[in-house]
Amino acid sequence: MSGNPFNLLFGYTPNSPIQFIIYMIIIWVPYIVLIIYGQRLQSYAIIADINRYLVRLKYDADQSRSNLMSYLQRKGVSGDGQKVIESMIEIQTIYPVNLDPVGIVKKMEHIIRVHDETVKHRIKEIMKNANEIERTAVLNMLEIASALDYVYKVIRHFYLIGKKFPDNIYLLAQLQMILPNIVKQADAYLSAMNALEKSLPLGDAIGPMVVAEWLRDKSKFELDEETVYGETTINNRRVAIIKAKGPMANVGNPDKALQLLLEGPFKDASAIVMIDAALKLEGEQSGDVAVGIGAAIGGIGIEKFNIEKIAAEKKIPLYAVIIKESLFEAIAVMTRDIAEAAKKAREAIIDLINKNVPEGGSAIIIGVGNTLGVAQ
Amino acid sequence: MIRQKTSQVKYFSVEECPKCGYKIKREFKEGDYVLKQSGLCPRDNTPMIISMIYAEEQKTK
Repeated sequence: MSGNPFNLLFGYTPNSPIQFIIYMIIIWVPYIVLIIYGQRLQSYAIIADINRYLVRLKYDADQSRSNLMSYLQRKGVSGDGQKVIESMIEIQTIYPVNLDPVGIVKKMEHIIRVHDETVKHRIKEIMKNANEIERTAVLNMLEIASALDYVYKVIRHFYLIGKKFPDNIYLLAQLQMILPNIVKQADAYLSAMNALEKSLPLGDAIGPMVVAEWLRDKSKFELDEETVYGETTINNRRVAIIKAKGPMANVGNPDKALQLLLEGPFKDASAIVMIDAALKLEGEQSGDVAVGIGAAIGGIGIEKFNIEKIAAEKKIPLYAVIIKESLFEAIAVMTRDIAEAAKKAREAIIDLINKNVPEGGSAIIIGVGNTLGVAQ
Repeated sequence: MIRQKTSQVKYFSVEECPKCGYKIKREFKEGDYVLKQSGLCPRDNTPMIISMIYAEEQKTK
């Protein structure tokens, strides 16, 4: 048996020609087909999977647009007003050239300011009878709808390219790998729409919420657009509190406010303490409070750059108190774990002030984040 | 038949008396925001403030 060449080649000796043909069809035809067309078949399987995610992204983009439109309808904006806001979903911001990166932050800051002012101005024109909370809600909802629309279009672009060239399995495989995370983020953004409609605080509001408590019953002053400050005393230390103006959906300009205070009434500050929500790693507990050094602030990086620059120039130590949360929690309505972390964060700040600011000295505390649903 | 667990999210506001620390948890009402003055404390009649607003998942089978 073992000497039979057929047996040596195929591990089996057919007893009749029919058996031989059946054997060839069952074992060898698929084997050869898979060798020749395997990659292409895999590409088709990946394309089908990407299409599934794409449908979900389209749903998120369409839903965010329809949520925005129905909110506008409820607030008395219809017809042309709705059309103008809908057209702003596709507004493009062209970032400055980075061939020569020197001074790029100033250029980015300028472009982003122009973008923000243009959008705010148009919303104000359209929503003449609305209050500040409703206008900022529309502004934030518009940003979400715009982001989801852009994400959907970019993914669709790569999907269509992949479909056009199915042999490029590597392009498709990369897209397939990142899509679950992108869809999760898109779902989180869509859920934030609900919070904005009802003016509920987001997970990101924990920074302003921590510091707002110290501003209760205190005089507040507007330092920069949408940014307020007030003074309090913590264990015989004079403390300035900076946060965005609430309870509207604002993030403020903490960098500008910090600069004004350090050039004015707080030029003797011995410490800057920043409080912000920070992304937790998988396995970490939501609402955990951690203390660190550096500027705790997210975003594109303009405010972070400015704050680090001022602190370094004036040689003032920068401390950070961060509250851990997932990306979903940061964008969705605040959860109980995170809300309850405010007390722990306040204790951590007091501890930092006691250890790093001498009695009779002064410090600046900045509550970073979107202050929707949090007063002051 | 396998019954899937579904969850519904509810929003709550927690009112707190700044004087005695008495707390009441109630459903969120539109117009609520953190540090908004709300009702009077049933213990000492001090105006209570909203100290927290959060979402809680209500699990149903």
